[in-house]
Amino acid sequence: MENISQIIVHANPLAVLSFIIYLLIIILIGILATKFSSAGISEFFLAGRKMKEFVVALSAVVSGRSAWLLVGVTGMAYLRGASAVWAVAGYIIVELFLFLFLAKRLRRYTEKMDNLTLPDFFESRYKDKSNLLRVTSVIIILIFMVAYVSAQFNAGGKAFGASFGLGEFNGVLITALIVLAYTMMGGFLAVSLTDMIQAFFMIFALLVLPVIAIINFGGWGEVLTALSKLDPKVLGSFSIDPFALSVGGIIGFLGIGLGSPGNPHILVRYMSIDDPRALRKSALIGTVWNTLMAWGAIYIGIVGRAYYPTKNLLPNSDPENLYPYLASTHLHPIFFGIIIASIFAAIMSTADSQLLVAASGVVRDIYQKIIVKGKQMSQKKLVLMSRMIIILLVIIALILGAVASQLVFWLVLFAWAGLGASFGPTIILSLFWKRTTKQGIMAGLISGTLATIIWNQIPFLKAIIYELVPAFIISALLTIIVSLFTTPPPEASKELEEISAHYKK
Amino acid sequence: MNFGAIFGLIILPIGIILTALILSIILKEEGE
Repeated sequence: MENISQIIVHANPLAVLSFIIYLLIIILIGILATKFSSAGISEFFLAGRKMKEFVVALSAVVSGRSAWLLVGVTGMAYLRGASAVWAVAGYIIVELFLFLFLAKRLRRYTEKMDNLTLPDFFESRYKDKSNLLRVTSVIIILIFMVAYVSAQFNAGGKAFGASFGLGEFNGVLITALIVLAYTMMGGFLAVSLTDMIQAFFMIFALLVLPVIAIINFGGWGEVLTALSKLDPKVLGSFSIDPFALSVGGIIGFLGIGLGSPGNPHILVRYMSIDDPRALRKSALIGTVWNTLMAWGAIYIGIVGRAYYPTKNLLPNSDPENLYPYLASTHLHPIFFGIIIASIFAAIMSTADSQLLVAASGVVRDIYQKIIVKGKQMSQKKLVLMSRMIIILLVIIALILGAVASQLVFWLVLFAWAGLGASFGPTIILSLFWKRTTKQGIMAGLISGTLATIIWNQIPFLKAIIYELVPAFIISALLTIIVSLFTTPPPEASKELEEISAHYKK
Repeated sequence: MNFGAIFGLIILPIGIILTALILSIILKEEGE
């Protein structure tokens, strides 16, 4: 997303105005949520488990979708055509099943045990008094979440700087300050409510742009005719047929979905719902939203290819510039402002959730549960500390972002895969297999992380398949094998039957 | 459009939404 300034700096003041109104709404929500979130640590990090199904659905969905959906998937569909459907179908189907099955059990177990975080959950589930599970899982969460947040800030900075000609550094700072402001003030409630607003911006942008672009082209038939007339050499790997992709490519793309069950910033959304029975409604709402947004992005990529058959017709010859560029040439300035806002919505709705999860790891898991374990702490003090930690984490993320500014997309994919491979199999097995043991979970957490890093670093392996797929399988297998050779906690069977029985009621 | 394109661009998204609709109805719990 480098230097899209030539697209946007000439934007009409109306576009800037609609963008500023969007930012003001976000900040206002942060302010309004401050009182509720200040009541205690449960309110600050989990909104007191009082969220409604609609908010949970949208928040869970957009927390998982970064700018990758808007600029990455549209760019992918521009280059490869309908093959990009595999990259979105995987996570949408996985998240549907998470809402329907995993989320209910996770919500019920974590409420019963008064767990606020995933490390809390692991410790309760395995009666681990050594802090080993808690510390290991917090370290993994912190490394990936902080890297992830810094990647989001960098992406926001590039887009912000380019949109308003402020320069990338200033853009990063402004993005960080906005996210910091409402997350620090309003905690989980502000993050969830702003996510909901951002979800509306995103779906609006992703539906309106392709429809208008297709109509302006003369209709879908004209788009297909224009594409069919292009020289195959010009089209390269582009195809309107998704099965043109190799089997390995299809599996790799679908494998992106394996990241969803292991990303804590998505999982904690499920834990926040007031009535777990309503999660089936969230499943429907979330899936409709996910599907419409994803296919909107794919249609943008395909119609974009009809408009601009070769990359050099796009700013900087970069397919990731297609989304704002197509919008700038087809939409009224107010709607163009919404398109720009939607990029920030995607970035901020992901960064805020990740920031809060990282902060909960420090305050809840390290400070409250290890450093001052057993001591009574004032809830107000814990909330104040949480706010301070959020500031500190933002500073760390900014410093990291400055050092690794070239690696935005790489970091996002890497964090997604690392968390997916380490937490995905271990969380699923913890909730559905009573035979799982603490040692098995340790094996899964460590092997999932290491396998992701090693596979990612070896070009030969990376060329075969996206690292998340093998790393997820390795982590699951090691969790199962090690568990079979060790002893599960005696209460596990009864506890899982209880939440399962509750589930069947 | 060939079958692959119709599947990927039309049937697949509609199919996913319909699956979500059906599952969210049949997985209804007692008391709802």
